[in-house]
Amino acid sequence: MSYELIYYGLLQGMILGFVAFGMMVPFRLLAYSDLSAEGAYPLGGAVYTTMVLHGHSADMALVLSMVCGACLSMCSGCIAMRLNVHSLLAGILVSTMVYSLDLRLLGKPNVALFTFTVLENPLLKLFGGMIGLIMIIRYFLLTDYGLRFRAVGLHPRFSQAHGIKVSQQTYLGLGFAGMLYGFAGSLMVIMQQYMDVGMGMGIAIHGLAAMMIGEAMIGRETLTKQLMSPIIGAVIYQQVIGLVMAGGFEPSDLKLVTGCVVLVVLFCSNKRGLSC
Amino acid sequence: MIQLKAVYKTFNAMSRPVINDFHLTIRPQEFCVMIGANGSGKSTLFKLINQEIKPDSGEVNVLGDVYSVKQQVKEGAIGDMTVFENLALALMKYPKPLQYQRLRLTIIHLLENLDTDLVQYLDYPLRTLSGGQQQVIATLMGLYSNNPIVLLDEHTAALDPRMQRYLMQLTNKVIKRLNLTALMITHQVEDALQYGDRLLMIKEGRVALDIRGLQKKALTQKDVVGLYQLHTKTGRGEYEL
Repeated sequence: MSYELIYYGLLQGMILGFVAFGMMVPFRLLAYSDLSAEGAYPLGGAVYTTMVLHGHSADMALVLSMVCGACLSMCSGCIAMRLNVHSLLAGILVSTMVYSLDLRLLGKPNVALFTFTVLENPLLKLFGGMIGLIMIIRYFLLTDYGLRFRAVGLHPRFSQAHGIKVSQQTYLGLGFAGMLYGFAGSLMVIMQQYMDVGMGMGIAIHGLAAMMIGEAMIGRETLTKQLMSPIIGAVIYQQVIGLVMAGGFEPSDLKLVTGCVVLVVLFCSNKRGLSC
Repeated sequence: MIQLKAVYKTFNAMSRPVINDFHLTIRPQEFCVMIGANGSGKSTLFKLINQEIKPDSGEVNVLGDVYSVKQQVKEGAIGDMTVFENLALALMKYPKPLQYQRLRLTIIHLLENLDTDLVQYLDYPLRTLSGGQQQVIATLMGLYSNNPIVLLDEHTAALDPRMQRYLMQLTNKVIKRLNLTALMITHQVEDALQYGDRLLMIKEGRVALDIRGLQKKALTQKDVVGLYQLHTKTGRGEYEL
């Protein structure tokens, strides 16, 4: 396996790490199954691309893509909680709907951004960002606000009895997760200097797989382990895929290979007694 | 204050009303102990007071927020959180900045004042404690949850006699200290006589016996059992001492 393969595998792993971290928040901390990543991730990319093409600064485009991602995930939560639709279905629904919005924004299915400058030292910046994210979230979860947030996922009825507004905390968690999905989508566009409207296809599965690999590797007994597991999982997941591709598979086999990796992880997790 | 006026409640599967023309007024800061056989309507009454279910007819007026302490620990506490985190959740009604660390001192002070040995387990996950210790924590969480009315639904039933005695003493101490309005269901006649300002006996969805003060103190376990059997046999309605 060449140096480039490892390097780009790490970069993609870091970006996937943001998605997996985002998915961990509703799935593990709020016990809410959320698939809005499938829509928020490409939406982040589409918003970033559109903004940059219209001459806005990259920073502003990044912030707006995060806001749009957060809005989309919160919309999915609103549908699930207000209309009593299953959260998974609500996630799929908004993701399907936002596909048309992405096409409207971009005007065509794919846009190249080759003339724009790329991020310098991306691996270092992403790694720093990831550490900062873990530290901030860990600090938040150990405050009284964070305690109430965690209580919602662990015992919703208990939380209600103690005056915690479950829906409010769920919106907060979904908004944060959506922000990370949008951020990851923009990062991917920055990295590959290319936006494709179908880039979000299967991202929720990749994110979940990364989360489960991390949990199978380091466990989730403590808060620190729980927060680190999606990122470690994402990096390992991308490296495994890189390794498999280096072994002679065609790029068209990628979906089959990733599906098999997910199945192996599920099997190993069940063997270890970890619930998925 | 809790007030029930001519309350009826019937469940579809049952022909007779579970709560049948029920009248009861519980004054603020009163500690009522409720006894009665299984199926007499005690738990339904709790659900009505807690507004989990609505009466078919009649009025249920409750002034103040209600918290219900159940027999199962998992209903009232989070096993995956530490003892401190559980108590902190119960003690803070609204989160305030920098409250969290101050709460630790408050909780240590509170546990020491109650003569419990739980301070040493403050950073242990709740699920690692014994069933009795977990129930003590869950009960304390309910009592200190900033709700003026507390319903205790056989909260000592699953414990051994020594732990039952300890938890009852602790419950009584906290209720008196916090001036709570409390309503407790128990099958322990000894506890019913020893604790509380007022004793209520429920039979077939009605108050069969309602005594307080000196009358309650004069009553013995034998009297209560005798009275209850008499009611069970004759079904004469409300008994007057």
